[in-house]
Amino acid sequence: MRSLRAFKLLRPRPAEAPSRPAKKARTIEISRLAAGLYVAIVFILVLVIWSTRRERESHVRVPDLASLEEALPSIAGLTRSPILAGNRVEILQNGDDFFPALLGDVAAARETIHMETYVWWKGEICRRVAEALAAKARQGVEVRLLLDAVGAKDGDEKLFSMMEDAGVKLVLFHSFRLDDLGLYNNRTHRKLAVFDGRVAYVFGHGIAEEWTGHGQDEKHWRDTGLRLRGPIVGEVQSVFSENWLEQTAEPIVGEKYFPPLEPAGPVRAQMTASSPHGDVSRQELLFKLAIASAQKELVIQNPYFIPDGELVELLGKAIRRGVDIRVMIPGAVTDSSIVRHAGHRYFEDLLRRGVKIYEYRPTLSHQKVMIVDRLWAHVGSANFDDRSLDINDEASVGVIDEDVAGRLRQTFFDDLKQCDEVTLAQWLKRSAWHRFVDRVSYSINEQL
Amino acid sequence: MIAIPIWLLVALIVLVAILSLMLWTNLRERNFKVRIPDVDSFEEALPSIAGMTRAHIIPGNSADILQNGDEFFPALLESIRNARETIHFETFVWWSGDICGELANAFAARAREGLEVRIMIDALGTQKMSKELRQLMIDAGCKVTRYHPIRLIDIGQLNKRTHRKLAIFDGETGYLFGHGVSRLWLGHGQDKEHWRDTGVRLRGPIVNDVQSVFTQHWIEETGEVLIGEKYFPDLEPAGDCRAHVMSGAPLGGVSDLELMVKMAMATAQKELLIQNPYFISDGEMIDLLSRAVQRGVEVKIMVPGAVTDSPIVSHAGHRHFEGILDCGVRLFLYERTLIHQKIMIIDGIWSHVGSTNLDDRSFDINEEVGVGIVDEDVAAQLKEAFEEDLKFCVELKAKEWKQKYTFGHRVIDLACYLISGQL
Repeated sequence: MRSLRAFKLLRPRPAEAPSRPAKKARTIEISRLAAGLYVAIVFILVLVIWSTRRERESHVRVPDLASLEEALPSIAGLTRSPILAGNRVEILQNGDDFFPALLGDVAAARETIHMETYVWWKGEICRRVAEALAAKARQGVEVRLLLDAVGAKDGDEKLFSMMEDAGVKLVLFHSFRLDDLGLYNNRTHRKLAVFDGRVAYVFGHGIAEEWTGHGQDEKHWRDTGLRLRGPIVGEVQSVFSENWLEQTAEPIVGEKYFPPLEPAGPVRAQMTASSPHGDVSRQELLFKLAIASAQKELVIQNPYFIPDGELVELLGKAIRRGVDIRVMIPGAVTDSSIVRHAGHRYFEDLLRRGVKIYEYRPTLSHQKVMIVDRLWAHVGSANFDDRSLDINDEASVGVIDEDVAGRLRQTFFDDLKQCDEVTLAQWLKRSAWHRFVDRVSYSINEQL
Repeated sequence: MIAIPIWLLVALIVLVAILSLMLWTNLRERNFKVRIPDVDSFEEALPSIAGMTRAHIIPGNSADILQNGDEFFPALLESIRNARETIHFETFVWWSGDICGELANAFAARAREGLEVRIMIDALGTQKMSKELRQLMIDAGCKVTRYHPIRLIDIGQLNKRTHRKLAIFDGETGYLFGHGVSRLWLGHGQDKEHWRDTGVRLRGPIVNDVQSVFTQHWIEETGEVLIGEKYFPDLEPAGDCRAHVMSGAPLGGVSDLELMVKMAMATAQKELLIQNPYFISDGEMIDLLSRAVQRGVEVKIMVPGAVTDSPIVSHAGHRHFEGILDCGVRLFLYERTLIHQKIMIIDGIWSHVGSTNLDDRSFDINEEVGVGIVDEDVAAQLKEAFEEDLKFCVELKAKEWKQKYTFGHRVIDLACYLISGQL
C-alpha cells in the first residue's frame, strides 16, 4: 500500500512552462514535499526490511563448570538440539570414504531417498550420483533431491532433466523468483542425506570433482562427513523436511520417512539446524557455547574462519582458563582469498592471546570440524563466518563420544603435520599491503 | 520544485517497487498442502508430526490437567512458593487488579529471597498492566522484559507478538496454558465474567524443551544466555506420558502449530475433538475435515456462542460454518461463558494443550507454544471435560443455520473474514 501511495505522489505534474527549450523536456519537476516523502518512504522500507531480518545478539557468559559434560544439557536446550542416545557413527574422510558409502546406501535404499546439498557442479561424480538416484527412482523409490539454486547453477542441465525424467523429485531451493526476491540472499548450505528414514549423512562435501579423492593435491580437497544410524536419524529427517516443506509445500508423513528408530550403537548425538531470520542463530550460539564450555582442549578445522569480536573474546577467556586451542585453516590453497584475508583481521589478537593457528599446505581443507575436551565433536556444513552463522541455512551434528572424538582428533593431528604454524613474530612482519587487504576484506565480510 | 530527468524518476519508482517486493516476499505466508497420508493409525503418524515440527516424542513425563482458574492459579502460586532457584514466566495478557497483583507479589517475594525470576511479557498484551505492578517486580529484583516494545529498530516485527503462555520452575516443572493473568480467568467458568480455560503442568524430560522455548525469546530480547543445571537439569522420568513441544514460526516459513493442526486433521482415524475460542477455517481445513468425516472420523468442534470477546473473529468464523456443517462435522456453540482453551483430542490417545488459536494471527504472525501429549489417561480426562462442556452447548444444525443465515449476516461475515488475516 505504502508503495502505491508513493507512485501517486510521484506522478509527473503537467508541464507548467510550455516555452522551455526542447532539451529540458526530458526532465520532470517534482515538489520538494514529494521528494521528501519519497526519501522517507525509501528509508522506512529499508528500515522495515532490515528490522524483520536483523540478527539478534546473544551474549554468552562463561559458566563456572567442572566439566564440559555439565554444560551439555544447556547447550542442547539453548540450541534446540536435544541429545539422543543410542547411535552409531561412522566417520567418512574425503571423497574416497564418502562417495562409495553414499552410493552404496543409494543402491540399498528400499523406499525413500532424501538429499539436500549446496554445491552440485559438473563432472564424473555428478554423473555417477545422478545416475544412481535416477536408477532408484525408476525402481519406484521416492527420491527427493533439494539443491540450492545458486550452489547448483553450474550443474549439468542434461543430468538434471535425466533425473527428473526418471522420476526424481528435483527441487531448487530459493531460485530467483520475484515472489521470493527477499529470500534470495538466504541459501541452503545444509548438506545431508537420509535413506528410508534409517540411515543419515551429514557432511561438508559438495557434489563435484574437487571433493573426490583423498586431498592429494590442489584439485582434490579435504573434507569430513558422518554416517549415522539410530534415533538421531529422525532429527536429520526433520531438518530435511523443514526445507522441503518450505520449498514444495509437501509435508512428509509416514513410517517410510519417520520409522521407529531402535538404538544402533553407544553414541550420544545432537542435531543443530539454523535458519536465522530476525532471531538468534542457533549455529552461532552452538559455536559460542562450545568455546565457552571447553575446559581442556579445543581444536577447530574450518575453511572460512572469520571470528567476530565476541568469539575472539570467548577464545581468549578459554586460553586464560587453561584450554589448549588450535585452529587449522587453509593456507595458500583456498577457493576464496577474500575470506582468507578477512579472517586475518583478528589473527594478531588471537595469536597474542595464545591461540595456535595452522595453515594447511597440501590442498583446501574444507571440513567443518570442532572437537572439545576430547569428548564432543562437531561435523557439519557451517563455516566460521557471518554468512554461515547469520544468513544461510546450516545443519550439523554434535557427537558426544570419546571414541569418535578421539578418532577425529587423531586425523586433526595427522593433518597438522602438513601445516605451517603461523607465529606472532612472523605475522607482525607481514607487509603494509597485506594489512590493507585484510582490513578491506573484513569490512565486507558480512556478506561473503 | 526540483527538476529531475525522467530516467531518474523511473529508477526511483523501480527502487520503491523492488523494496516493497522484498518486504512482501520476506513476510508473505507460504501456503502448503497437506495430502492425506496413507497411515493405518494415528499412532503411526505421530513421529512424523513431531518430526515435521522439529521435535521428537519424549517418554517419561507426567501431565496434570488444570481446568479453569480454580485449578490453575493455586497450582501456579504453589509452584512459585516452592521454587528453589529459578522462575521463568512468559505471557501475553497481564492486566491489573486482583490476581494480577497477587501474582506480581508472589514473584516479587521470591526475587527478594534471592531467586532468579525472569518474566517475559508481551508489550502489547500487557498494555493494560499498571506501571506500579511492573515496577514492584523490578524493584524486588525480578528481571522483567517486554517482548517487542515499540522500537524503531524492530519496526518490521511489531505486528509479531508473543502469544505464548508458559512457566518453568527450576527447569523441572513446566506449565503450558491458555489463561491470561486477569480476573476474567478466575473461577470455574461459572458466568460471563469467568472464562473457561485449560492448562497443563508437566514434569519429566519434556520440561527441558519448554525451557528451550522460553530461552528463545529471552535471548532475543536480552541477549542473556542461560547455562547451567538450574535452567537445564538432567531430568529423570516422572511419569508414563510421551510428549512433544511445538513452537516454531519461521519468518516466511510455515508455523509448526498450523502444520500440526492440519496434519492432525489429515491423520485422525476415529475421533477428532476440538475446543477453540477463535476458529476461522480456510478452504483447506474444510477439505481436510470433510475427508476425515468421509473416512469415518467423528469430528466435533466446540466454539464460543454468544459470549465472545471478539465479535469480529466470531463473524469471520461464521463464514465457513455452512461448509463445515455440510461436510458432516458437528459444531457446538458454548453458551455459558467464553471458552478460551485450545484443546485437540485425537483417537483417544493424543491431546494438545497450548496457546494457539485456529486463526491466521496464531498460524502466520504470532509466536505460540503447545504440547502434544501421547497418553490415553490424559486424553480421557480432557474428553470428559469436553463432554461436560457439551451440556452448556447448543448444537448448530446445517438446516437451522441456513435458515437464519441472512444476507445481511453474510455480508458482515465476509467483511470480517476479509480482514481476518490480521485479527
